[in-house]
Amino acid sequence: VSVMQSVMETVARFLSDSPPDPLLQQHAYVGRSLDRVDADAKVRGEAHFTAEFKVAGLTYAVLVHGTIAKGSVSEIHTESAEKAPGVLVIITHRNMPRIKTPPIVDFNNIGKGFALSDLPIMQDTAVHWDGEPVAVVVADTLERAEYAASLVRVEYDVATPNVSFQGMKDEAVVPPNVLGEPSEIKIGDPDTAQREADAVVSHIYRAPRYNHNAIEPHATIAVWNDGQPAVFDSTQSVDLTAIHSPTSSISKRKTCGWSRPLSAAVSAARSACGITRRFARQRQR
Amino acid sequence: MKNFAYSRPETAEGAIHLISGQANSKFLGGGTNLVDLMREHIEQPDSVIDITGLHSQGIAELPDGGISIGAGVKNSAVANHPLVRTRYPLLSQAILFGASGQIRNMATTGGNLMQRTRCYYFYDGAARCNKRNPGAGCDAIGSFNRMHAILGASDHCIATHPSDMCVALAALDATVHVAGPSGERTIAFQEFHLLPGDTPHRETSLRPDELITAVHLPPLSFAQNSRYRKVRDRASYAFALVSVAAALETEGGTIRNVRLALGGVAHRPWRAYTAEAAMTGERATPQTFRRAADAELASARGYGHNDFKIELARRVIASVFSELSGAGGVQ
Repeated sequence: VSVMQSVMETVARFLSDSPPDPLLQQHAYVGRSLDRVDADAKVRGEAHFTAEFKVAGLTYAVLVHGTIAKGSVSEIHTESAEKAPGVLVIITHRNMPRIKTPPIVDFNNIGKGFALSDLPIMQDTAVHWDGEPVAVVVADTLERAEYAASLVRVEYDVATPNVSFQGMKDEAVVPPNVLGEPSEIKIGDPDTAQREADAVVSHIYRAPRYNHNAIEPHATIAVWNDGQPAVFDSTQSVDLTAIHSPTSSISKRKTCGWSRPLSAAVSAARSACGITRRFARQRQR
Repeated sequence: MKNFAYSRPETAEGAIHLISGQANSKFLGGGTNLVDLMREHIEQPDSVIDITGLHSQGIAELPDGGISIGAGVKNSAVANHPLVRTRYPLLSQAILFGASGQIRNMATTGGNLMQRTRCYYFYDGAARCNKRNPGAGCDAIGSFNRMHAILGASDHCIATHPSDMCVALAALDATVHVAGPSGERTIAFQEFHLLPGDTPHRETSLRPDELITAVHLPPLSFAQNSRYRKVRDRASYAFALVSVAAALETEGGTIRNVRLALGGVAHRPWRAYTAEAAMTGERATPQTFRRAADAELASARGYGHNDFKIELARRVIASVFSELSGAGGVQ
C-alpha cells in the first residue's frame, strides 16, 4: 500500500457521504469489462502495426550506433556508404537539422510538451552513451540501408565513462518531482521515531533490472502530403508525439501542423497497437 | 546484411556438391540463428545453401528400439512426437523450454546443433571476441559475464552453448550422422561440440563440407524417469543460467543407472561423467546427489558476475535427482 493510498483512505474516512458525481457514472470505465476495439482484428492477425501501413514511395532509415560510452566523434567516413546501391541520404551531426532543446518532464505545462531526456540527437560531435545513434542511412530498401549503414566508419576521441551507479551518487540531485508526484513524502517525525524505536531494521533492498519493452519502437512512418506531415506511430500519447515530432520542428510548423488527416493517421496507428481509440477520437473533434 | 548467392538443392548430394565448390558458404535450415547473425554482420557468407528442401524430415523408430530424427525436422515436431514424449521425455521438455512456439516451428534439429553462442560480446561488433576475430582477445573476461561459462572455459573464450535440446541429447548419448564428399560418418554427441581452448572460433567437429543428415538416439529404458530443469532470469524466452538434463534408475534404493548433462555452464553441453560415476552404485539419497554435484563442480571457476552459477548448479543437480528418486525411479 503506497503512502498516497494510505493518505487518501484516511481522508475518505472523514469525508461525509454525498451523492456520487454524476459525471463519474457517465464515464465510468474503471471496473467495467470492456472489449478492446481491436480485439477481433488482433485475434485474427488482421490488426495493422505501424510498419504494416502501405505508403507509396516508402524509404528506409537505419541507424549507425556509436561504439564508445563517452567521448566525441572525430571523423565519420560516409564515402563508401554514399556510393552503395539505393542510398538516398546519410545524416550525421554535420547535416542534421538543429533541434530545440525540449523542457524536461513538466506536468504543469503539459500543453507545451516535454521530453523525458534532453540528450541531444546528433546535434554535435559529443557521444554520451554506448549505442548512441551517430548517423542515419536512408535507402530505397531496408536491406540496402542496412548494408550501407555497415559501411559507415566512425573514429572517436575516447573519454573515460563513469558507468557505476555508486560512482555517480555524488553528482545525484533530488528531482523536484517524480512523474508529477513529490519526490519525498514525510509524515510525522521519522527521525525521532527511528531514534526512539526499540528495534530498527536497516537493509538495502536491490531490485533486479527490468526493462519496459515498448511496442514496436523500431517503426515510425512519416509522410508529407503537400508539405503537410502525417506520422504513423505506436504511441501511448498522440498529443505529446504530435507536439514533439521532429517533423514539426524540422518544417518549423508548430503544433497546429498536426491537423485532422494526421490525427486520423495516428488514430489508425493507435488502434493498431491496441490502445483504445477513445482519446484519438477526442483529438479529432 | 551483405549480398550473397542463394541456392536450394533438392538432394543431400546436391547440397554437399554445392558447399564443397564454394568457399565461405553456409547451410540454411530454419534460419532462426543464421539470419540473425547475418543481419548483425557476424556471419557474412558469400553463398547460402537452403537445405529445407532435402528429404530429411522424418522421425523413425530404429530396429534396436532407438529413434532417428532427420536433420530437417522442426524442433516443435520433435518435442511433440509420441516416440519422443514416451521414450525420451527429457528431450521433449528441453525443447519446449527453449525459444518460443514460433521459433520452434521454424528451427531444425541440425540447426539447433549448429547454433552459436549468445555471448553479448560475440554479438557486439565493437567488442573484442576471439570467436569473431581469432587473436583479438575476449571482452567477456573481466567484464559483464553473468551468462558465461564456469566449466571447461579458457583464457580465450568463456562463452556458453545456448541450446536446451543439445543438453538432453548429450545426456542421451545421441550420435550425429553426417555426410560429406567422401561419404558418411557418425560423430558421438560428446565429440560433436568442442571446448574453446585456444581456437574458440572452432565450435564443432563437423568439417566445412559436411552436412548433418540425422541425429540418432540409442534405446534407454530408464529415460522414462527423466527430467529437464531450466533455471533462468525469467520464466519464458530466456537462455539457461543453469539447466540440468537427468535420468535415473534405482533398484531397492540403490542407483543402478544415471545420466546427467548440464546446460548454460560451458562451451558445449556438459556431460557430467564425474557426477554419474560418483552416484552409480550408491544409495539414492540427497547426500549422494549433493556429493556427486560437488565432485562435478570441483573444477568449476567463476569469472565474477557468474560465480553464483557454481552453487546454483550444485543445488539444481541435487534437487532434480531428489525429485527423480522421489518419483520412484524405474524399478
